[in-house]
Amino acid sequence: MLPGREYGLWAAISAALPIILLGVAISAVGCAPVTDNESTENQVYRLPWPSGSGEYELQDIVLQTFTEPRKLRGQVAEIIVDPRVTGGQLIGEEPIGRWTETKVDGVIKRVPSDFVTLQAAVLYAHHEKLNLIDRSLGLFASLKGPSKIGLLSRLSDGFSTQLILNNAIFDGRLDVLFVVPFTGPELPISLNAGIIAHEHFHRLFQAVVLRRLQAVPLQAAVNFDDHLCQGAKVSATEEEDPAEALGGLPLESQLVPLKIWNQTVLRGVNEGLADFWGWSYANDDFFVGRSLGEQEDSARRLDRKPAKLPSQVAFRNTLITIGSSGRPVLKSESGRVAAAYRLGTEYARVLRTFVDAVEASGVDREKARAQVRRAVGRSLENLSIDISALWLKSELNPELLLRPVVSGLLSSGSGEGASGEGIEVLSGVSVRAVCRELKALNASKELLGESCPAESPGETP
Amino acid sequence: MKSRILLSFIVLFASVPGASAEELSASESISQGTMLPAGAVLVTDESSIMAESSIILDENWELRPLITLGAAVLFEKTNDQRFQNSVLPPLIGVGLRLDQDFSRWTTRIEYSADESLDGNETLSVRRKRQAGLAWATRDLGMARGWVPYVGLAAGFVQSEIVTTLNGASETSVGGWKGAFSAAAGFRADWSEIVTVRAELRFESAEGFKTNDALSGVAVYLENSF
Repeated sequence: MLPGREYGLWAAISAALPIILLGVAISAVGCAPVTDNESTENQVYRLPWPSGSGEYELQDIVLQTFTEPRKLRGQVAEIIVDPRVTGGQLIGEEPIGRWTETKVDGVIKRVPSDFVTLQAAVLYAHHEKLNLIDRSLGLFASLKGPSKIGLLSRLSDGFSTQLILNNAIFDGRLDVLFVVPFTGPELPISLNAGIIAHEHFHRLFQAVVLRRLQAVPLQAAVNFDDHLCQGAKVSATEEEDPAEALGGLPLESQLVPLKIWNQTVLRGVNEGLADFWGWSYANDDFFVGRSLGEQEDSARRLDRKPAKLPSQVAFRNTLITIGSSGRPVLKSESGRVAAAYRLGTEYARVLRTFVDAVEASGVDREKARAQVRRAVGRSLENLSIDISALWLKSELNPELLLRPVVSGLLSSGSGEGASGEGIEVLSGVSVRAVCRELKALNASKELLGESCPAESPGETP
Repeated sequence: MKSRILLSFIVLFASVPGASAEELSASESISQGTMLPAGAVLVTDESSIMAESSIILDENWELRPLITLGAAVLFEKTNDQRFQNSVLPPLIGVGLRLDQDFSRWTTRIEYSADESLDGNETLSVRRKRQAGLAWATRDLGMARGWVPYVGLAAGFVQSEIVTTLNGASETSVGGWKGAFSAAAGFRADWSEIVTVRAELRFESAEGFKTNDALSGVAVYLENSF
């Protein structure tokens, strides 16, 4: 038999155990960190990422600026889940980033533990990489602070209470990218590198081009600063028939008011350059269809060679339709938005042919993409100057809006192998290849202008 | 019945310090009302198992091994104000019950596991979570009817993540991290050995994170021996 005092000891231990456990729990909670500001050295994130071919696979992504992963924010972006807009400000509860961490050889590897964290991490990661591109092109200074991204945003289209689904919308007034709930079976938009880059470009365009236009007197009417990645689903009300407003049968040129013409062209440029930005970042011909389906993809994919450059006449025709009265009328807003997206696709396909031409002249494909992207990025300032000068005076010529890009791409092509910011400028051979492409697209002399040297007799195309 | 005998043996043998089957006999324990090691249980007839399983510490204290089995419905923040993710972990535990004249203490080790899945056909994240918590609960009374109780626990939680992209899966297993839990509820004794407990429960996330907690309802049966 055990001595009686040992029973007493056992009873005391049993009674004390709960108190000990309580003490451990309380002290552990007290010692838990109140902030998760962390050094970002030696941290990798396991994320779905586009491979070189455009397909997605899980990869280790090193992030340098994701300082607060448990709050889904860092130096370049802040993710707000299920946000609200109050007083022009984006607000929401502090999100919770959930991770499973392993440490191997001093390197912390984080795997997102839930789907929201996964989406937020991918959005953040792409914004960090896009931010590096912005910096290399001197565009970063135009952006005001880190990107604000609303994930699982509940937005209506403004004409009904129906929520927008399966889309991403950059709101220029709030300077916020809204990613709305995704219900399809495809790759969610929040994980689609091409669409994320497309939307990020809208932020750049807003910061560099549209901001300047908004400063033009009497033209606060640059009011189309919501950009959806899926143009086909923008709904709108029918507008007043301008033919009736003008009285009688108007001339075709009178059918499209200057403001509407210029707004639609500008939107087309914005969407087109954004599509090219998305394609060149993800190196993915299928980046639209990967999330938005075959129909949207076939209308917008960039590996279709354009027949010619966007022209003024062709664009006018896309804005006019035959009304019920049998007379030509201006298309509704939704029709004009669709026309802007079509124009944008033409721009993007032309830029894509430049990449092909540069590559065909012997440049590595990745470098070719970077060179054309650099020309686009650096053209934004000149584009905004050109557009501002014409905004109130005349219709923007869709073809000539490519001039800053073309001159940016070709102007530095005299030196062979000269370099700038890590990207080699175009060689003479590449310049000639791009010029040949422009001529094949029936580019006007104004566009070819100073950029394309006259080919010497006997030069082989 | 045989499995209950075996479990009683294992639990008691593991939990009573300094005792062995050779040192004490069942008859001594019963006749003298003193603590008895589990080995003695095996030499008694089956009808006396219940009485012999308890350890009478003195006139006012009685110690019994127990097992628990139940389930919980716990809710987790999803970052989306409209929805909460719910998990349904089964709860399995072993422990000890200490009855006093005026109250009852229970300590037990509880294991639970749950799983959640989110995503779509192209990409999904499956999280398997398991927790081992050491609980201490105190009943605020000794009536056989419904009696309130409170409980606290500390322990460890671990997650395993299976990320599936285009049909290819990858598994990542995290380390065990500290967690704590708290509960308050009511228990009722159905018999001398069977108690039902229903409680509201709060469980911290891995690393004692209180802003990322599970909370909900747990119900379980406690069978002591």
